[in-house]
Amino acid sequence: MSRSSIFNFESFEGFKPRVPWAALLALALLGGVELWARLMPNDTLYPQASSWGQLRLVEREALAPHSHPQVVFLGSSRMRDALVPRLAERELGLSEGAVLNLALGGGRVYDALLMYERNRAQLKGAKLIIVGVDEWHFSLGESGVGPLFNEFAPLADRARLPEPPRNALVTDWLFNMRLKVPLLYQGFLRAVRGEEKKGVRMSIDENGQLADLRDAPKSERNAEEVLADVTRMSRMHYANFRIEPVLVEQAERLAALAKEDGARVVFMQLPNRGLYRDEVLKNFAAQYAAHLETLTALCRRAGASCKVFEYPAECGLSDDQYLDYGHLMPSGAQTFTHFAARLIKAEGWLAP
Amino acid sequence: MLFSTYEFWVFFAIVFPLYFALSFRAQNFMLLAASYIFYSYWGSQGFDAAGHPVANLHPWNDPWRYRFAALMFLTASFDWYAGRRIEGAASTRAKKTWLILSLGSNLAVLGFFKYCNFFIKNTEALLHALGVQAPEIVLQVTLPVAISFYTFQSMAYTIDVYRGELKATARLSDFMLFVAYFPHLVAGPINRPKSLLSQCERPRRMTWDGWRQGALLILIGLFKKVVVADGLAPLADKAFSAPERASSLTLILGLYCYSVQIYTDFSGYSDIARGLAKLMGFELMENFNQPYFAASITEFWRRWHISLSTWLRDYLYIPLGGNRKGALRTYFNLFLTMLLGGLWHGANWTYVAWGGLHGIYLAVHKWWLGDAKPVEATPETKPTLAQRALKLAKICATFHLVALTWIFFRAETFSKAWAYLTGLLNFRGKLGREQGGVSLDPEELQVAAFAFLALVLLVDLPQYRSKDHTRILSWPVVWRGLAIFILAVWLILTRRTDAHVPFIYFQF
Repeated sequence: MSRSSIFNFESFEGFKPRVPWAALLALALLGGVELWARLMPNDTLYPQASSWGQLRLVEREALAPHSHPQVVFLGSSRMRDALVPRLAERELGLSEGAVLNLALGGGRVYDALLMYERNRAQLKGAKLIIVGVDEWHFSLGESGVGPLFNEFAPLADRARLPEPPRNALVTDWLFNMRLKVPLLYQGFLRAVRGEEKKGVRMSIDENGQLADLRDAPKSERNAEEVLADVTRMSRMHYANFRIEPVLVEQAERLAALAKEDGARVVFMQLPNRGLYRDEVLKNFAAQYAAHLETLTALCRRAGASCKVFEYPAECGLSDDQYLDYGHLMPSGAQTFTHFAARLIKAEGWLAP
Repeated sequence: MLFSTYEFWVFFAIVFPLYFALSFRAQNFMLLAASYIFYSYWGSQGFDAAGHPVANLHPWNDPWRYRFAALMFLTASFDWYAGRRIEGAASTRAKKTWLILSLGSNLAVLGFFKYCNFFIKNTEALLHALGVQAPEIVLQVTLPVAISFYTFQSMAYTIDVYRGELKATARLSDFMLFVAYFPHLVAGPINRPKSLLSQCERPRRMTWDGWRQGALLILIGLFKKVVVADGLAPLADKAFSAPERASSLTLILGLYCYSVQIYTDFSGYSDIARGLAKLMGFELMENFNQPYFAASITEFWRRWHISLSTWLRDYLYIPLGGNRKGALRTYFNLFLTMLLGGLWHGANWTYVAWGGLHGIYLAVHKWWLGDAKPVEATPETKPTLAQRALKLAKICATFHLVALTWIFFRAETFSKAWAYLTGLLNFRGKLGREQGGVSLDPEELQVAAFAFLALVLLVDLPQYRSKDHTRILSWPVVWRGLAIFILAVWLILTRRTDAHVPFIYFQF
C-alpha cells in the first residue's frame, strides 16, 4: 500500500517495540485488585451504618417478609421518619405488609430508583408509589450525589454531571477498588476500636419503620439551637444550587418503571419546619422557585401526581413536632401518617 | 483542561494517534491547532490581575477564550516577523529597533494584563501618602493563562536571533508551535528556542525508550500532583488561612506542607509536560532536579524551576554584567535579577519580597564563598561520615531557609506573612475552639506524609542518587513493576472531594 503525503506514519521509522514486562506486571496486579473489589460481596465490606447497609437492612427486614405491597413510600430520611406503615395500613384498612416505607437516610432520587430497580419483581404489584422529593434533590449542592449513586449509577449519568464531581464519579465507575479498598481500612479501624461490638445502631421497628438510633435527639433543642440548625441546613441545601437534568431524569426513569408496572406515581414534598421554610423563602426564593418549577414539569412529563407541602400546618402538623429543620418526631409521624392515609383515600389513589 | 482531568486525556487520546499517523508537516499544523484548542479551553478560568480566581464560566460560553487565543496569536506573529526583520536588517541600528519593538510589545502585553492594576494601586497609594487625592481606578482586566510563560519564550527567541545565536525561522507555523505547544504552554518549562524551535523545524522520531520514559514521567507527575500536592493543599491552606490563630506547631507543619506542595505541584506539572512531549518525540528541558536536596541556596536555584532561573541568568543577569563588573556589582545584579524574578510570579509586593530575599541569600552566599565554586563537585572518593553529616546539615539548613521564605510567596499580604513568621517563632500553644483555634487534621496529615514518603523513596531519592529522572526503568522487572503498581494504585485510590485543584503555577 502506498503512503499518502499526509498520513504516512513517518515518525515510526526505526521504532522497535519490546514487551513491556514491568508495565504488564503492574497491570496484572492492578487487575487483581480490581477483580477482588468487583467480586467481594458488598455485604461483607459495608458496615450497617452506611447507605448500602441501610438499603440491605430495609430490603431484608422491611421488604422481604411482605410479598404483596400495595403502597410503597420511597425517599429520604424525612420520609423515613414521617410515615408509619402499620398505622397507615390500619387507617387505609389494608392488611399487614401492604404499606411499606422503604425510604433511606440520606436518600436521594437515585437511591429510590435503585431500591425500585433492585426489587422490581416484588414491587410490581404495588398500586401506589409515593416518592418523597426534597428541594435539594435535583441539585448537587454540598452533599453531592450520595454513596449509592457513587457505587451503582451508570456511566452515562456520571458523565453528564458537571466537574466536579464528574471526574471522581467516572473514576469510581472505572475502578471499583476506589470504593472498596478504603472500606477494608475503615473496617480494620472499626475492629481495632471495637465499634462492631457496641451493638446494632439501626433496625426496623415493630411498625415497619427504619429507626436510625444515631439520629435520636440527645436532648431537646432550645430556640437558639433550632434557629442555628435551620440557618445551617438551608445554606447547605442551597449551596451551589443548580438543577442537574440527570438527577431529574432519574426521577422520570423511576416514574416510568413504576407506571410500566401498573402503579400510580406521586412525587411528594413533605413540609419542613415553618422556620426553615421562612428562611428559604427569605434567602433562596429564586432557587426554591426553580426547584418547584422543575418538580411540576417532572410530574407533568412523567404523568405523575405532584403534592407539594411547604408549611407543617398544611398537613396538620406544627413546628414543635419536628426534631430539627425537617425531620418529624414520633408524634409528628403519627399525625403525618393519618394525614397521608386520608389524602390517599380522598385522592382515590388506590382505586383501580 | 487540567492534566489531571478526563477532558485532557480524551483530548490527548484524539491528538496522539492522529499525530503519529501524520507526516511531519501535517503533524505541526495539527499540533498547532490542538494547542490553540487546548489554550482556548481556559478562557477566564484563570486568575485576575490580583491573582484571584475569576468567574467560573463554562469554557465554551466564555468570550475571553477567543480573545486570549487571539492575543497569543498576535504576539507570536509579531515576534516571528520581528525575528525575520532582525536577521534581514542591514544595520545594527535596525536590528536593535526591531528587537526593542519585539521586547517592548511583549513587555507591554505582560505589563498591561499582569501589572496594570498593581501599578495603578501603588501609584494611588503613593499619591495618597503625599497628600494628593486621586480617584480610585480599577481596570477590569482578566489575566490570560500562561502569559508569563509564552512572552518569556518569545522574547528569548528575538534576543537569540539578535545576538546571532539562532537563525530566524522561516515558517510562521513552526514558530507558532514553538510558542503554543500544549504540553508546556500553561506552566512551562520555558523552553529555549535553540532546543524546542529546532525540534519543531525537523521531523521527530518515535522511540520505544521515549515512550517508556514519557509514560513513566506522566505517572510520576500525576502522582506528585494528585496524591501528594492535592493532599497537602487543604493542610497548607488551613495553616495560611489564619496564622494568628494557629499554634507554632501547626504553623511549622503547615509550612512543611506548603513547601512540599509547591514542589510536587509544579514539578509534577513539569514531569507530565515532559512525559507528554517525549511520547511525541519532543524533548523539553528539565525544570526540577530534587531542589530540596540542595546543600546551598545557589545549588537550590540550579535545581529549582531551572528553565526560569537559566532564562533569568542568560537574558537578565548576564546582560546586566553578571559577575564581570566587580564584586559589588555582582551582588547587586544577583539581587536585582531575583527581585524581578519574584515580580514575574505575580503583581504583589509579597512576590517581590520573596524574590528580593532570595537575591540577598544568593549575594551573601557569593560573598561567603569568594572565589570558591558555588556548587561542590561530586567527590571521587567515598565521603566520610563527617562529610556526610555536614552535607546533611547543609541540606537541612538550605531547606529551612527556602521554606521560611515561602511564607512571603504563599501569604496574600505582608501582615499575614508577618503573623505567620511571628506565630512560628513565638512557641505559641494550641488555641481552643472557642477562640477560633486553627489546627490540622492529623488523619489528613498522616495520609499526606505517607504519600510524600513513598514519593521520596520511589522517585526522588533514586533520581537524586543516579541523576536520572527515569531511574525506575533501569530496575529489575519485578521491582520496576511493583514501583509502577504502587504509584498507579495510589493514584487511583486517591479521593479528593474538591477534585478540581488547579496547578499553582497556572496563575503566573
